[in-house]
Amino acid sequence: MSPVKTSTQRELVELLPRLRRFARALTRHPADADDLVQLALERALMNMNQPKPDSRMDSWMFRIIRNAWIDETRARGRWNTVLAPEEAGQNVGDASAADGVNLLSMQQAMATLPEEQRSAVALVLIEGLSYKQAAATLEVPVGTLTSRLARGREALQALLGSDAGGKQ
Amino acid sequence: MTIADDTLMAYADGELDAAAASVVEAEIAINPTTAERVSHYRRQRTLLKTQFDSVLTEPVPSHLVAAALGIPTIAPRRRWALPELGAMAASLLLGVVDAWGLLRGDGSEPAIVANGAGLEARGALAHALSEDLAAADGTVAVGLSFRDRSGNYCRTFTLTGADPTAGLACRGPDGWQIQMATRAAGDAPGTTYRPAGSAMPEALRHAVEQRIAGEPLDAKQESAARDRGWRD
Repeated sequence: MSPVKTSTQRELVELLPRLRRFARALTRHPADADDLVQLALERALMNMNQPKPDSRMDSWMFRIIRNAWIDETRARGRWNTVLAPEEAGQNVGDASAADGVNLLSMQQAMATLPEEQRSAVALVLIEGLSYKQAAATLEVPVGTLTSRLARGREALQALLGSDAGGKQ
Repeated sequence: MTIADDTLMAYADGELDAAAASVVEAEIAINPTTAERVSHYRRQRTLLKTQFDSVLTEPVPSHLVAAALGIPTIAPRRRWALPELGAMAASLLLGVVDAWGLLRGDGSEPAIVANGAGLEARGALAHALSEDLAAADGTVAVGLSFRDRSGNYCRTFTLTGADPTAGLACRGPDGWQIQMATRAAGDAPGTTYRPAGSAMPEALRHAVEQRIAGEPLDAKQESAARDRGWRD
């Protein structure tokens, strides 16, 4: 059987690097991030007719990834609290050793943020969405998005220092 | 004049319209504190972005490309949203019965036997499920206790020994019914039970997630349930 490759599916392929980056910002582990992307792609292909926020495929996929992440952390959180201590965070990517230090601390710092703040920071600061696009993605008013973003940035600053971990 | 942090943040993120931006710029020109706040927001943004941008240059795993194209593949091991385990669990269960139940040839009472309704816990396993609080006890260890969606008590267990096995049993009218069992990964024979999530096979975790209602029992609830014989 040869699958039909629609333009939508090609668009998804082109989005993959960004989807992986967003998932990496949400999760503690690269393997979790890729599993999350895979799950989100499966959900997306089953729900292609859903309306997309601002008609944007990227926002829509970010929303699916984030919702899948919430579902899984709820299920998993129970296990973490009952059965296992949090594992140590891992590096964001396969970066050079010199970047590794910063990557590690940033990844750990991100992981300490409440999910709502982490999503806001990831969408606006890492994915470059506007406040309006990020709010639509998260299905919250812009004011809510702004306040989550501000609190997330504040927490990152407290954790990483005034240069957000990047002392010159 | 003091400008609210949220406004400075929005300015740094390019979110202000021209009029609002010019107010901020005027303040930046005369107030070093404001200028520093804005440049802090910008540095933070640059730092986060450059660090996570390293992901963009990584090769995308081929199974993700296939998933995006809707091409069915045998994906690498999934840690999320496990696929249906029916057939796999069944075959694992057969192996478990061989190891612990029907074919056990050493004369001791089997831990798992088949009855009309399915598989039932017997011997040391049944005893541990009924009597033990979460703890290791010889070859049987009981892990997590919870109520399923029908209100029955269920408990996870581990059998150590030559065929380390992890499973889930729920209390039925006549005893502990084995819901699923699978070979416990990684443990050498004789090692003691490790109550860590990492030691919990995915299939077992999945089985619990499918059945659990609410939260697992805490030590006090578990003890009370035992004292009531795992009946209401």
